[in-house]
Amino acid sequence: MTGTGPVALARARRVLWRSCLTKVLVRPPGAPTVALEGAAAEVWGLLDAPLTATELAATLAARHQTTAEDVQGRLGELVADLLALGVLETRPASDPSAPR
Amino acid sequence: MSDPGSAAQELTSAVAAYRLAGSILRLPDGPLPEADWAALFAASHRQRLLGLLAAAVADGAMAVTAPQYEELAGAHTVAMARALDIESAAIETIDRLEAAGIGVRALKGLATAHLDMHDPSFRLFADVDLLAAPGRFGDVLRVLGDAGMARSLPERRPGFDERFLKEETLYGPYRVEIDLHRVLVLGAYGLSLDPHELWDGGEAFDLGGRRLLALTPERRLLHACYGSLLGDRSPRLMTLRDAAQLAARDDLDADALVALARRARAEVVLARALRLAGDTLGAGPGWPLWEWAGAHRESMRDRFLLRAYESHGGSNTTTLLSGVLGLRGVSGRAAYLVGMAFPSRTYVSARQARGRPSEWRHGLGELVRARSGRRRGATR
Repeated sequence: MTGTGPVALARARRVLWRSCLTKVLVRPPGAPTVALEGAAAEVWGLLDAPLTATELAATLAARHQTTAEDVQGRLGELVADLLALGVLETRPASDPSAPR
Repeated sequence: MSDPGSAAQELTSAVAAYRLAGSILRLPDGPLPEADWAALFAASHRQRLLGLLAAAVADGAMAVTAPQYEELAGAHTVAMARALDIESAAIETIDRLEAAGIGVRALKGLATAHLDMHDPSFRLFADVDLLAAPGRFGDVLRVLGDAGMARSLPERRPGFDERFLKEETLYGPYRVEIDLHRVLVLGAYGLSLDPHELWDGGEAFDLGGRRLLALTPERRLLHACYGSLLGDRSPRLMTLRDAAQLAARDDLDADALVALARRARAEVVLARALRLAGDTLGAGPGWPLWEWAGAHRESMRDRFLLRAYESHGGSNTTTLLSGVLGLRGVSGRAAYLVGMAFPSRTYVSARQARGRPSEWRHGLGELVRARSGRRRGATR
C-alpha cells in the first residue's frame, strides 16, 4: 500500500487569472475563462497558499461565524466543481511550492 | 477660474499615479459629478488606466456611486478577460518557440503587469510584445509562420530584417496581436543599441506555471523611457507610469542604466523621459536618477534626433530616415538607405496587392506636412 499524507487544495499551477471588482476570472489551459463569484471567489482568495479541506472549512467557518460542519457540505460540492474545471488541483500538503 | 480641461487632466494623472511611491497627486474623496466621472472614465479607458482606477475604488481611495461602480466593474472585467486571452496567446506562442529551441524575452505590459505592478490587474495591455534573440529574428518568424502566424508583408530586401527591422506584427490565437521585436524603438535610437546589449540575463516571472524571462529592470526602464518620449504624439500615461514605477526602485542599478543609455546614445531620452514621468505623476525627487536627469546637458545631436520623432514634430518617415544616423559605418548606412528607398519587387507587389499606398508618395507627403507644421509653429 502506498503511503499517502494529507492532501492540500491549491490553485492549479497552469491557470491564468485576474482579480476584478466583483469577481475573479480564471482560465485553465485550453479551456474558456470562468468567472468566480461569491463563495467560489472567496475559496480562490483563501488558496493563495495550499490548504487542506479541513483547514479551508475551518477558515470559512470562522469568517462566517458558523461551524465547520455547516460549511463542509456546500464546500465539498464547490471544491469538486472547481477541481473538475481544472481551476484547483490537489497536491501533498507538504509540497512547499504554490502558485501566486 | 480654473481650466476644466486641466482639472480633468490632473485627475487622470492622479489615477495614473495611484499607489506610485512618493507621488503627491491625490484622488478626490467623494463621488464625482456625472460629467466629471464620464470624462475620467473615458480618459482612463483611452489611457489604459482602468486597472488603476478599479484598484483605487476597490481600496476605498475614491468613492463612486453605484452606477459608476457598475460601469467601472463591467469595463474592467472585459479588459481582464481580454488580458487572459492575450496571456494565453503569449503562452502558446512561447511554447511553440521553445519546442523549436528558441527563447524570447517578454516586453512591455506582459512583463510589467507581473514584475512591476502591485497586482497584474492594475496593468492593462492590448497585445503581446516579445523580443527575439540577436540573430534569431528570422528563425522566430519562420517557426511562427509555419504555425499560421504569417507576417502581412514580406521582407523589404533579403537580409534587411536581421540588420535593420524594428519589429514585425503577427496575428496569433484569439485574434491577439503578437509584436515581435528585434530592437526596442524605431529610428536612430533603436539602431544605436546593439541587440546583444538587451539579451543577457533578464528577470524571471511566472505565467501559467511557466517561467518566462523579461528584460532586466534597467533595460525595462530604458524601454519605458523610449515609449514615453518617442512612442506617440502625446505620451501615454500608462507608459509614463511604467517608467516611474521602475525609476522609483531602490535596487535599480543606476550606474549600469546610465552606461547602457550612453552606449545607446540615448541619455537624453532617459533624462527627459524620467523628468516627464516624474513631473506628470507628481513624483521624482528621491528616485536614484532624478538629480542626474535634471542636470543632464543635451547636445545639438540630441535635439536634432529627437525632432525626427512624431512626438517632437517629426513623422514616421523622418523617424525611419533617422535610422541612418543610428548606424555605424558607411556600408551599414548605405545598405539601410538602399533598403528603405528601393525595396524588392516582391515587397512592392505585396504592398500593392494589399491596397497599401506607395511609400514614396506617402513619405513625401509626410515630409511636406511636417515641414509645413514646423513653419506654422515658427511663425506663431
